[in-house]
Amino acid sequence: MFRFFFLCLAVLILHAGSHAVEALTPGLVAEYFQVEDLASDFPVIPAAHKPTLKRIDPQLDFPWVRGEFYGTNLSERFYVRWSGVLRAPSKGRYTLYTESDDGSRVLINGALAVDNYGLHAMQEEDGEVDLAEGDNRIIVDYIQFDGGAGIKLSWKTPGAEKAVVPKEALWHDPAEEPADVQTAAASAPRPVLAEETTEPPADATLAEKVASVLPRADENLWLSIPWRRNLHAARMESQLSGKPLFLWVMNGNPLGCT
Amino acid sequence: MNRAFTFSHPKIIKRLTEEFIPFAGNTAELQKEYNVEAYDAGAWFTGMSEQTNCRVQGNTTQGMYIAGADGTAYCWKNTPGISDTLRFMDKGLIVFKKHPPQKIEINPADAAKPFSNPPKSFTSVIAVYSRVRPIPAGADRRNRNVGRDYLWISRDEVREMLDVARDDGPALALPTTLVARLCRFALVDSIRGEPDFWDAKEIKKAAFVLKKIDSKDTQFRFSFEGGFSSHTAWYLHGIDGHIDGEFTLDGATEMVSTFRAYAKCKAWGSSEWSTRGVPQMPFSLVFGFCDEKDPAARAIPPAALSRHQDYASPKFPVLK
Repeated sequence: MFRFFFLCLAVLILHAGSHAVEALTPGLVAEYFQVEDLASDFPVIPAAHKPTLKRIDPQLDFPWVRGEFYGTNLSERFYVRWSGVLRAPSKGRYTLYTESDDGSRVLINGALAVDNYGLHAMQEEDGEVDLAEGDNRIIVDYIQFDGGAGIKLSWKTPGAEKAVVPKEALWHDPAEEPADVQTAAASAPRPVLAEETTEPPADATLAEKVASVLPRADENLWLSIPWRRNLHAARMESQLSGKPLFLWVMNGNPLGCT
Repeated sequence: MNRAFTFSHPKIIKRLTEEFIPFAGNTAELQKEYNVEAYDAGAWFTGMSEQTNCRVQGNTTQGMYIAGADGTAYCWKNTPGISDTLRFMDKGLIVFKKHPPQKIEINPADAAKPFSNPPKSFTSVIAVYSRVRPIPAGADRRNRNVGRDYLWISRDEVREMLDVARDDGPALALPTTLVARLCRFALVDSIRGEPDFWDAKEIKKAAFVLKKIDSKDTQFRFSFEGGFSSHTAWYLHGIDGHIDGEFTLDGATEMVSTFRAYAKCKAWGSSEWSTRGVPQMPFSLVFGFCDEKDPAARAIPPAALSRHQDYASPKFPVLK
């Protein structure tokens, strides 16, 4: 009797599981967050911090671009988490790759598979992972600090060449699908992109040409730190204030020749 | 990553301003082996830095330190990432609070002494900025940096130009020492880090023409333009371009009143110490020169000064 009950239960679970697989819909759930105090790490997003955009991205194939990141109204200081299912066509050892500017990482079934940490130009990192045939949970984290941005998720499946992970391999559970898919971008304020210096026109005056090379305000932010230039005066101040000295020492004074 | 970029992060600006006494300096002026003056900054700095073992595994004393006024070193790091720097500050503060420095006597007279190697009061200081422009698609972010340095113009050089200009002499020309300083020490690629300054033998072309525009009272206005070209052996690293400029000299003070110049050139290769991130193909480098009134300019010398003893009168080849 008990044996029959467990057999029925197992059949029900398997049946439900296959339905769940069939019920998946294409693409990964993407949550885009504006993070003004972004550093070079992946941020921990407080529950109260809502994404500025949620949408479904069919693939992670975003070549390097300057300015707005692919219809998101975001260009600098943002973080994206893509989540869903990576469907492996067969069991075996896979190599996963992210090429990104800035940092990215991939987690498969909760374990770190690719670590492409830090702030950098388009840079590729890879990792090997054993995948079961079928569905594996995938999370891709990505941060963009400033300047150009881009990310590609690729894989090398057993017996095949490296390729961008195709749409057919990326899925998500519709229950996890955000209610406000593709709606947040329209109302989100566009962040101000640091002005890019461009080549002055051919008829520009000498003063205009020189001005086009000078640092912009955002490039002089580090000079707002009250750097002391006299070591012993700084020591005296440190002793009086009870604060430690922070010394930035380089070959060539960093304040004059960075 | 560029350190100026790290020190532009709002959290780091706030914490350095509120929780520390931030100091910036040049190893060549701080290390004992360089700093042999009676003034004991070299001894203090070297004694402090050696506690961190910063020179292990080929490192230099460059980087960030958290230290006490008494010379206790709490930590050292030479990786400039934002997160690393924030963690470094956390670590330093914890150790500092656990082991506060001893109270010491610091002679106020020491603090009043000139700390760096500043220009003489009659030396003119020109700011030099440079950029890679346009930045090649997909290029490393280091190419987005702004190169910064100073160029000194001596009183003798100003006098030399004024003397000819007063007489409306035909031999008006930029002084050879100024041309040499400009080509060897200012027209260099410092975008991605520490530059290599050009040796005299690496200067292949420096054909400048100086003209007097006009004069009024004590002010003499000039324009100059010309081509320059410098490269290492086998063309591994080079620069090839053109400069246009205007400046005014004050006959009374024998100093530069105003200075504007713009140079554009093709550059390729990298210096010995900033090899990472150089574009693969030749790239365009632009320079902007302007007279500098910021007090820092009269306290901080050009980068080449501590590495080239002939900065004041640079060696220069006879060019054909």
